[in-house]
Amino acid sequence: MNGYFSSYLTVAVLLAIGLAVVSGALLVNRLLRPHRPTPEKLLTYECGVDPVGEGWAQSQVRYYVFTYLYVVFAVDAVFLFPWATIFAAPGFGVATLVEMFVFLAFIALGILYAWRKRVLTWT
Amino acid sequence: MTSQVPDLWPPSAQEVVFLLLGVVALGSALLVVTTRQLVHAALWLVVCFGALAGGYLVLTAEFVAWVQVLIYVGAIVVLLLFGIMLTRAPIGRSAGLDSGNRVTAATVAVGTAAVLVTVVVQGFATAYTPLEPGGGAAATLGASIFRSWVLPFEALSVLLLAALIGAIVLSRTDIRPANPAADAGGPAAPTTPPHPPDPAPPPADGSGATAGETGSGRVSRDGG
Amino acid sequence: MIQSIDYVAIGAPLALALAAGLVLLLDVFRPRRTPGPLGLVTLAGVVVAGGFVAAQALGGGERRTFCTGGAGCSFVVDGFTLVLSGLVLGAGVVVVLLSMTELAERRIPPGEWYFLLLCALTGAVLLPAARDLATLVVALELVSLPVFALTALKRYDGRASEAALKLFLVSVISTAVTLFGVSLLYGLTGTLYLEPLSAALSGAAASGAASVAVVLVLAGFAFKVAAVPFHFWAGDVYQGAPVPVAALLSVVSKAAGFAGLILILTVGLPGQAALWAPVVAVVAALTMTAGNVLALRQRAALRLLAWSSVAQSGYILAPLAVIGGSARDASVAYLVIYAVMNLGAFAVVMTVSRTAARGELDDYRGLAFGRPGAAVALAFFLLCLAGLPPGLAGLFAKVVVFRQIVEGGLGWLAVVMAVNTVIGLYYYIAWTARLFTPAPAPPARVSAPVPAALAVGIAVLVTLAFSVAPQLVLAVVG
Repeated sequence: MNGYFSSYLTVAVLLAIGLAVVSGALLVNRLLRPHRPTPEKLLTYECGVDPVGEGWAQSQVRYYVFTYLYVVFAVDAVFLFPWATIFAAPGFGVATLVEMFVFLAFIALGILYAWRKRVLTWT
Repeated sequence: MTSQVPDLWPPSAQEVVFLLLGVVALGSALLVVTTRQLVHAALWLVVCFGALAGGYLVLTAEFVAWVQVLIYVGAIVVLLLFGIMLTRAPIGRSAGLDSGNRVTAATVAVGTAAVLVTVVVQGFATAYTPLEPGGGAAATLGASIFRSWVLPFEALSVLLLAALIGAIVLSRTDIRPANPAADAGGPAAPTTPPHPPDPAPPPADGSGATAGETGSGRVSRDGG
Repeated sequence: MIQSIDYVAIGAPLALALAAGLVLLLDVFRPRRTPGPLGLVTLAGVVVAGGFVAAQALGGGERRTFCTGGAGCSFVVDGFTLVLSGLVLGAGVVVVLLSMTELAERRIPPGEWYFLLLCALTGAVLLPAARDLATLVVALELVSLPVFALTALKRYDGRASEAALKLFLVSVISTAVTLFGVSLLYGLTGTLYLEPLSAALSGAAASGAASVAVVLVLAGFAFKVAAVPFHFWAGDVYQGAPVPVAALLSVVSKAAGFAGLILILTVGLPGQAALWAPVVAVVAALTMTAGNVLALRQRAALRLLAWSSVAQSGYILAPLAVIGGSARDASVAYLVIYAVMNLGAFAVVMTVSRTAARGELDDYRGLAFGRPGAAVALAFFLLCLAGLPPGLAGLFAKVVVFRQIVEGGLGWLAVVMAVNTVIGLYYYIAWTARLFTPAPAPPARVSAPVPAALAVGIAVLVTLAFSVAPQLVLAVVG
């Protein structure tokens, strides 16, 4: 019991140290720097030219499609991790191996589909 | 599952940590729905999911915690952010995010929360379990899935493939409308990205005029 | 230690899933711009699955597979499963035929359409056989998710996207509510299998948590079958979706929702019947009334069919309010007869809407003079839905349900149902009358395309068979 919680406590402490370093650096920066804003200084930088219009981000659908593919295969991987730890154990034979391969094959049809429909091309 | 009911005071370290994580999760969830900056909402959602993952860790459900981080924080929040960028891409505060139903929504939410909390507390007030690490490890879950739950597992493969194909076919850009000039009315398909505000002259590199079409997938070499 | 798998028992969903994979492969590798044999492969897949169901029905006996030692079995094929699987596959055949017509004239990607349709049918065939909550929820998702994509597949159509979004939001919320109820049930009993669940819950008195869990699960499924107060999505979604998808929603999706509801209530929670039976009775009464009243003012054909199928959901729910053994058989019998009547109505609407401008009821005026076959078929289906002779199938269905309710002692529900039947007569007869009144402008003599005509023909034949020999249904079900 102590081994489990103490090891995750170590992880939490590391996370806290990381956060502390970053926020500490930014905080020290904020405290030490001069702060005299003028309207011209607060304008968005656009290569030296006066900025026009609102800020907007141009993105294309293919980013979304790649992210979506990642979601589905991440769920796929989530099932692979526990399977990998037990499929060679006694009691789980070839059946378990085949079951996972059926699962993978079915989802791999999705990659095949995406490839052939030219969804995976970058340009 | 119900073992001897321990005293509530003094609380053990795990209970204190769990409580704090719960407060963080609740607070960040409230911020998600009340903040006026859309991108901040997605980021507060990361904090909420992280707190939930921490909660799972405290309850010794290790594998579920890392699945939460991998799938929810790693994939779903990214999906959300891309969705925001594709449809509104606001920077700074957005007006008009409220539907005007704040009071009703708050009432319904508080009422639902009260009912659910009362039910859980009343139904499980004496159900205590000792926290023994190892019950939530990947090996235990794997053994359980492949021993007892193979049918839903295989059905999930069909479900995942259907979700994948459905999402891809709805966002494919090579399916053109039958008659581009006179197609059926209604809002434009969700795949077209936002146009820059009209009164603005095109940005410096001159590709602003075609910026509206680049989003449809015919990629401009420089815009990409 | 690991589960044994009886491949003959799971033949139907397996065949459908393999057909789905095959259709996707064919679509991916076919030469561009040729439709190819996709529709026929889909039809073959559905027929093969139907063959498995028929073989199991003729073989008799119960098959259980995917069992764990003492806890229970995930997949059980018994009479209930066979009837509902048969219903879903028969409906699948009609929907595939209607799809062939729809895809021939619109720019809808065919491979993905048939693939998603087969996935939805896989889920609908898996659900009546599921006997544990995890498989039930996964099968429910498998029925719902492809339908969201199918609804939105008519790209660049604002109505279709709106319908898909509404359907998606409603379904997701209902799944979340159901899952919360399921998690409470698991917490209370420690098992997900339905029979051990009922054993574990029957001992203790209905605690607060158990009651809330039952209500939450009921609410989740009520969304799926569009029962009041979760019925608001029906009109917009049925109108915006392509007609074959609306037919799928009104029959296959509804059958799956009812299968899940019946399984959970009668197999998983029979001990709590004192709690959920009155709730089901009230919901059934409200659903019938809301559906019929809302249908009275409709001018668009698909919206009217949407609200009429909400009302019919009320009639199907009503026998479940009777605490007793054979109540669910009456529900299933009505469901089977309703399915075939409703599919027929949608099939005729599909053939007429190809030439009609706005899909309103006035487009059907004088149909009997221009297209007598379609008009007679539609009149027959509408009279069946209303429960009037010569639509005897619908009449028998209503009588079965009515008798069950009266014998169960729910007199007030019987009165509500009778009143609602009378209200329903108005709009069904009004539409039927329009078919035979001469129109100001004679409608064009258009012949329906072969697949749609075949679909209408199949529906007419089966409805006639049920009208003439209702024991075909009643013997199989009860």
